[in-house]
Amino acid sequence: MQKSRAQIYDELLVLKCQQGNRDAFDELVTRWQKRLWLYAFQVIRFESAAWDIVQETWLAIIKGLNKLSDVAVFPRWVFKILNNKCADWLRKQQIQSRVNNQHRNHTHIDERPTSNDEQSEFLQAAIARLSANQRALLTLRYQQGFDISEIAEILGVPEGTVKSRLHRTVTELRQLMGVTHNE
Amino acid sequence: MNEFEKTIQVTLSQTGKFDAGKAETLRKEMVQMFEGKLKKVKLWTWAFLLIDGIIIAGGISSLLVNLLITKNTNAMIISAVVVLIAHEGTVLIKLWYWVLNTKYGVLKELKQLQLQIAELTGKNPSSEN
Repeated sequence: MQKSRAQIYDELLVLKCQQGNRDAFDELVTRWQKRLWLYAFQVIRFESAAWDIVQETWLAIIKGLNKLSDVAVFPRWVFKILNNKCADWLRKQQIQSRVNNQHRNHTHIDERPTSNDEQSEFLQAAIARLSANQRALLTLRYQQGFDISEIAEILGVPEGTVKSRLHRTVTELRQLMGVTHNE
Repeated sequence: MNEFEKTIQVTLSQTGKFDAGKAETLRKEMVQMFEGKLKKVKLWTWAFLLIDGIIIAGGISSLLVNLLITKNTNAMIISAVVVLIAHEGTVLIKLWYWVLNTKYGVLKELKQLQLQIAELTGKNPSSEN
């Protein structure tokens, strides 16, 4: 697969950081900050905690950046760290189980959305009802644009598991939204 | 990607209010941390060189004293070995640094070349940040 300009540029920045270039690190943080925060927020659903997790992730990046032998794996490596930090946080807060128990019912939202805005709002509510693992999966696939093999590497599960979980999650979302066919 | 999946993609990108102020503060903090780490590495390098220099100077002095005054052959050999080990340590550190530096330099050149090729071929990806 051919790499995009942005990916190559990120790799270049990582190399410069490994050489001890401060400005390159500054730019890398600027470029990646939002992506990391959005993922953390999607998974844990707490804004301030998401910032803490992003900070911890950056600290881990600073610590381990020079040990990264292949700069091409930087996105996967970063998201793996981030995902582990989110999992640690959820474990500490024991929110995951509570969220699962409270929200993981299979009833769909009463009214079917009509306009695009409404649909987006309904979908946001439906996504919030999913478990943290399911939100992580959706975010990695649809927001961050990773492919199945990359997601498998980030989450540390086989590709088949990612595919089935993703399928189940999308089906569940459809049920929550009351969508029964491919629109 | 079907319509529903596209809607998921759009919805996910709209979720959460990204606080630019917090991002800026965090960026500054992280850059400071990175600089701190660089300083630490620099400090360790200088400390190593200083200790190495002291060992070499001590070894040479001991060698000279044993050679010119006490005429102790065993002590002379030990001093020479200490000087050689300390010297080789410095050489190895320099070698390690240059190998790494060259590796990063070559990789950087390659990436810049890839970047230019990507720009010339006009590849403008949707995943661009």
